[in-house]
Amino acid sequence: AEVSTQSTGGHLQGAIPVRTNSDHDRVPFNTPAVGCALDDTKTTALLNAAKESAQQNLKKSIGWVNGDKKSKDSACIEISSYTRIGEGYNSYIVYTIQTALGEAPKTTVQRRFNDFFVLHQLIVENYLPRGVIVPPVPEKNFMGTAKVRFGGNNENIQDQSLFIKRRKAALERYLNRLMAHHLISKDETLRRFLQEEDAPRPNPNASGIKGFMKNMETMVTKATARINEVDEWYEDKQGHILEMEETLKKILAVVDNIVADRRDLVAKSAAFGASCLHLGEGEDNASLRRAITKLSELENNLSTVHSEMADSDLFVFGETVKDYISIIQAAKAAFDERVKTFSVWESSQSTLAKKREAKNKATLQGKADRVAQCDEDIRFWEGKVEKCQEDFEVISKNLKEEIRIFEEIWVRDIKESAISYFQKLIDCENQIVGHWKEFLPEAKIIN
Amino acid sequence: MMTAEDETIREHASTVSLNDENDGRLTVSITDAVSELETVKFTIQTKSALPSFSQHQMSVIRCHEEFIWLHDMLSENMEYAGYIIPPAPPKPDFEAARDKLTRVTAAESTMSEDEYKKLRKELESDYLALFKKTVAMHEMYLMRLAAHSKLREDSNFRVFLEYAKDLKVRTKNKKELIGGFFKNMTKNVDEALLSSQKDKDEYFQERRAFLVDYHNRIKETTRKTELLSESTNALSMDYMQLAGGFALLSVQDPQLQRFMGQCAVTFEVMQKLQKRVSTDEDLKLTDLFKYYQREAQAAKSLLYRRGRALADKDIAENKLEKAQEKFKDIPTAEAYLQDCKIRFERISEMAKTELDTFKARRLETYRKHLVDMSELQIRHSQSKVSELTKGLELLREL
Repeated sequence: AEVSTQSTGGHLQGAIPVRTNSDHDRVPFNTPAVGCALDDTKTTALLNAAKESAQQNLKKSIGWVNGDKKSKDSACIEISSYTRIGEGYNSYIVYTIQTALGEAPKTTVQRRFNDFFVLHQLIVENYLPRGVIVPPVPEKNFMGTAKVRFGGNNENIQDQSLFIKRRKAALERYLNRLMAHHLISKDETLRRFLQEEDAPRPNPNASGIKGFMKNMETMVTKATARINEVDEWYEDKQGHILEMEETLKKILAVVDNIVADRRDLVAKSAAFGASCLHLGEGEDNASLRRAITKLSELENNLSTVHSEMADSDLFVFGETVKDYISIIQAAKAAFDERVKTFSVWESSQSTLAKKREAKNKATLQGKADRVAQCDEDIRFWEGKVEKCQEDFEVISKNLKEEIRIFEEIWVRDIKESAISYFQKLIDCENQIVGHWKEFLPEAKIIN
Repeated sequence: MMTAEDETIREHASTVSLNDENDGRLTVSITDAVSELETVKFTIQTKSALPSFSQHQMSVIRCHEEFIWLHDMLSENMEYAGYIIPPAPPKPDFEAARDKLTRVTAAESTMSEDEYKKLRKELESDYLALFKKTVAMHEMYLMRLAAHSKLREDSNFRVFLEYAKDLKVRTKNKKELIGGFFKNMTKNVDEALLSSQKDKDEYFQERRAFLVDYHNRIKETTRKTELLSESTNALSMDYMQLAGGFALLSVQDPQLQRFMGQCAVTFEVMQKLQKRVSTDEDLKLTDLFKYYQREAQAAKSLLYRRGRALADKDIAENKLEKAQEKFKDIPTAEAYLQDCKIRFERISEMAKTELDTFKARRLETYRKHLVDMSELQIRHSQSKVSELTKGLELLREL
């Protein structure tokens, strides 16, 4: 894939100070997506800007989480391009991922969406039990995928292109979030995903009967457990997170409305512009004809600006909100995992009590060999109870730390996103001023 | 208390119909208006230096139907056939606004108290703006009449302005409405015939072609402008809701309290500015095209009447020829032809003046509105930029 070496463009002038890490090679981030069916430069620019901003942020997080500013583990992951493989129903998109880990040479791999999904499942299996808030993988999207598969090269090209671009950006954010996590970044499966030719295969136990039974167990355990909290922090936090989820969903709905209304404005201004052209042609006065024709031009220009603003609403701000709604789901899962761990502990405690009772009974009945068996059982279950308690304490501690990190990153991300959004709105409104200023003299000379 | 919107609307009223001859001898204004159930009652104040009026100052209350009566009286008056009869103001229509208000009131339980209050306030101010607009339209109609040197002498106009009691104008009953419908039908047929009429006068030939064509074009543009305006308005509500979302975050997350608080404040201002963008677009652009669509129609009517007069003259000429052939009723036919000729020439002369002033008036109005519109939009966008910039600076520090 071609990698251009443009210097960091002016997309985020003054938005965040760029930290240059002069010790290491940096892969330039603003490589435009190549291999797209439709090269919509403005959307691409926005996505690149958003991606750049997110990556800067995540890099800061890596450095901070690892405790030092010049981390040797600084990683640059980029999806540099994508191509369609095959035709029609069996076709799919393959993404090219370029990774530069620390001082190691850059690696390139090809992955399709399903590979990401498998990676995600493996990571969840491994890390969720530890109370980790696992970064969410972008959703499966039947409609979007179907459009891509069946979409010809003419119609829906904009829809397809937009869908692929959003997914590509989301996948990139996903990988970078994984890399930003202090535990997951060291994971072997992730490394294999990023560096080896063959993608990691799913765990055979996860699917099939065994997996199904395990899931059932999980569901039942979740429903029945209740923790008598010594530390109110957990309940408080959980409540707080649920509240946050509700608010973010409301905000996302509003952003969707704004995007829809702006796109409507795009259409209506263009239609008005076209009718002005028609009106101008019917004018009997030359200066008025000219002015009305200029009005038409103006409205077409405004239409373009509105389109830019709609993209910005979506990509600069909307995607961040959407991501965090998913991350909150992952946080809820981590809380649930802790509850599960507690209930396993509880149930092993109750089993231990039963074994102790059985021993008492056997002792009273004077069955010596039964007593010996019970002693063995008791020893085993005492060990289990100890292990469960340990597990519960570990997951509780991890979860607290995870939430702390989550809150720091959330605050930073949302602030960054809001600032970029403001910046983009300022740019667009300035463009609007410019267009009207162009028109004004034409209106003044009507006579 | 005059708000920015008040000023704009009042200004609008006085400029859409640039007074060509108002020498101050007759000034009319609407000083008050009350919305009562199905109707709006306007209080009209007149100051007159004209001899035909019995007093110098007077005040009456009129409703929309009485305006329509006046318009009909003027339109049907053969003396005024050569004038562009100012188009009647549109009927006050608050149905859409009322609907929205009732729907929001019904949905009160589904939103927070804050949201509900803001939404209601928004809709109430929309209702008020609509109300002010209808007042302005009615006022403008009267001012146009008062400025026309001949029409202001009309006796029905004087009665309208002077007569203290209710004019007891009933709206047209069914029979009259159907009669009116047929009249329009024949008018359309006649219009079609007349558009193929050969007119030796190049000026009128050209003017007719222009007006028929222009009227069609402007109808389309008016529709598109209305759609655009609605769309622009929708965005202001969105900004309000976004501000609400930011406010929620600010309350729920102590770390984001000041940051999101500032975002909420900025977007509340953005909402107001967007509202102004939409209002000005509506007043300066949509209303401009709507008004001139009606004026173009009125000008077309004038040309139609002249065309009718021309057709009458031609028929009279034929009749005279036939009478001369048969040596029967020649003086009657000659007299009739003379009448038609005089009538036709009078109308043509009046029409020419009217059309010229129409053209000049249109240019001036378009110019003023487009210039105003540009300046206002520049101002609003610049305000948005400065508000966002100010907000951004504060955000970066938080």
